[in-house]
Amino acid sequence: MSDNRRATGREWFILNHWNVIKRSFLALLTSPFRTCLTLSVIAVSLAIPMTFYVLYLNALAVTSRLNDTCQISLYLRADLTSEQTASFVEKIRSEPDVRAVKFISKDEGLKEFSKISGFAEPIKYLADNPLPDVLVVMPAEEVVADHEISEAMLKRLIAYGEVEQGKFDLMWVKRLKGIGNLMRNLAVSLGVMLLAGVILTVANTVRINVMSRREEITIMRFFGATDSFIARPYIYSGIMLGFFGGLLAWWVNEFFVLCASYIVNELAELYGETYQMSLLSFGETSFVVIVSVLLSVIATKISLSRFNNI
Amino acid sequence: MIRFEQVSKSYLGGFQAIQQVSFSIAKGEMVYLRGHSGAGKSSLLKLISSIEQPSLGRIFFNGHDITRLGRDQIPEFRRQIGMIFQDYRLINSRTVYENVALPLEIEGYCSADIAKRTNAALDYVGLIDKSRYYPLTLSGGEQQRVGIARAIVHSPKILLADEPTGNLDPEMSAEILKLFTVFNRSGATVLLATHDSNLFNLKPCRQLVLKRGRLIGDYPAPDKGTGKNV
Repeated sequence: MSDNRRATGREWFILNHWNVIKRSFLALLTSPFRTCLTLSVIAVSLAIPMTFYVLYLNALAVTSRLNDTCQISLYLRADLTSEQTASFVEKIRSEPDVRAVKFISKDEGLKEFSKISGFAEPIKYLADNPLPDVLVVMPAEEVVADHEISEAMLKRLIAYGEVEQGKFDLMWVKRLKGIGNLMRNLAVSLGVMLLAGVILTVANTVRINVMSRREEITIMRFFGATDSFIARPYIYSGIMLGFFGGLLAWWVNEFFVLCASYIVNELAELYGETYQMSLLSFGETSFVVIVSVLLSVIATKISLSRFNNI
Repeated sequence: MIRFEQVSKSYLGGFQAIQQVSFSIAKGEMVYLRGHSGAGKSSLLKLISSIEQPSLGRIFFNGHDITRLGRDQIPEFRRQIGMIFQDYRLINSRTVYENVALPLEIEGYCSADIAKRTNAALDYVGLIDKSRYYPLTLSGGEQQRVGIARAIVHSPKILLADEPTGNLDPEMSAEILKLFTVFNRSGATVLLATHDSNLFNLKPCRQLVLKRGRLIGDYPAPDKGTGKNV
């Protein structure tokens, strides 16, 4: 037998891989219903955590936008002179946790109030301006991000003698952050469960394929087929299921997020805002497809390990 | 080429398929393995091809103890053997050509050699014109000829046939036997398990006779002049 040429290089690849890939693909097409079911299960299993992840990313984006608008309003005592007020503004501006300071005098405040309240006419008849001078303090990001630090800062600012009253309402931002974290935790926990589901589904599909070709495997073994030769078509089938399942999951996720984006936009318009929901990036989508392929290969290997003795 | 040394094979439950069997077969010999159903013929063939491992004793193939082969060495060893089955054992989802080419694919032959050898094997068994057919569209005799082409396509050192004519009529059996004889003349060893005495009459050769797992007779090939066993 030594006078015969063994396949090498490109020919070896075509014989051992390309032909097997074609055969594996055709094998998936010969049972379209089973293949579609498996792909659907993979797609839904991956799309659910993907969707929660996208929602988490969007919640994160919204809260970081809101962080810029978080501010502490300090209402100053009415009896301060303009020098005392200017000196206090400078003192606050030099505080370490302060990003920016905006001073709104009582006259500016009254003008703005007249404009937005719709009581411009009655206000004209007031003998005195009842509004205090207001110092709007924009804290640093790390202060906004931490509830305890922001509370401590508010207490410290209120303690100044020049301040009559202070206000810092962060609860709704924190609630939104909480929802975002819930999305993330749901994405992780559901992801783990559903990815296990992907493994079980693919393993079961491969098991059925192996069982239906048990006789063929036995014959191959009689003629000296190695484990890797026998496993190769199933591994390729697993890779294909994972790849197409991952792509389908991406498509399902895009569809749901685009639907949600439409609803979110309508809601944002009610508040005079626009918001475009962000989708998964190319890198994140590729990651999902790669994970899907890897899980399918793991599932295939688990399934094949049970049939090594055929 | 093959040597059995006090080989026994028992299965779970204590059934003794082979009991203390010793014999040897030389290179290029054609040997009948005879015995009634359940005598242990198939078990013996499985032991030679390492499908089963003996419970006791040793089996040598070309001087190598095959009972000590590791799991990863068995595929390489089996490539030296050609196997033929009573029920043909063809892959029905593959064409005749693809079935015959399978051992060459497993061994990693290049495409040109696969085509050359597969066509030669199909020509040898007279099925070159049916290479694109699927096994289930062929008659029993044709399917067995596909099985023979598959078994010899990679030029094995030994051909093991387990009741190859069991499902065939006498005329077809004679044709199949001719194929074995021609292959044997080319220098290959042939071990043919059968309970069909007609085959022996058509082509008298050495006989190993099994009964309830024991070797009860080893009759050499009859002398061509007298027709009697030497």
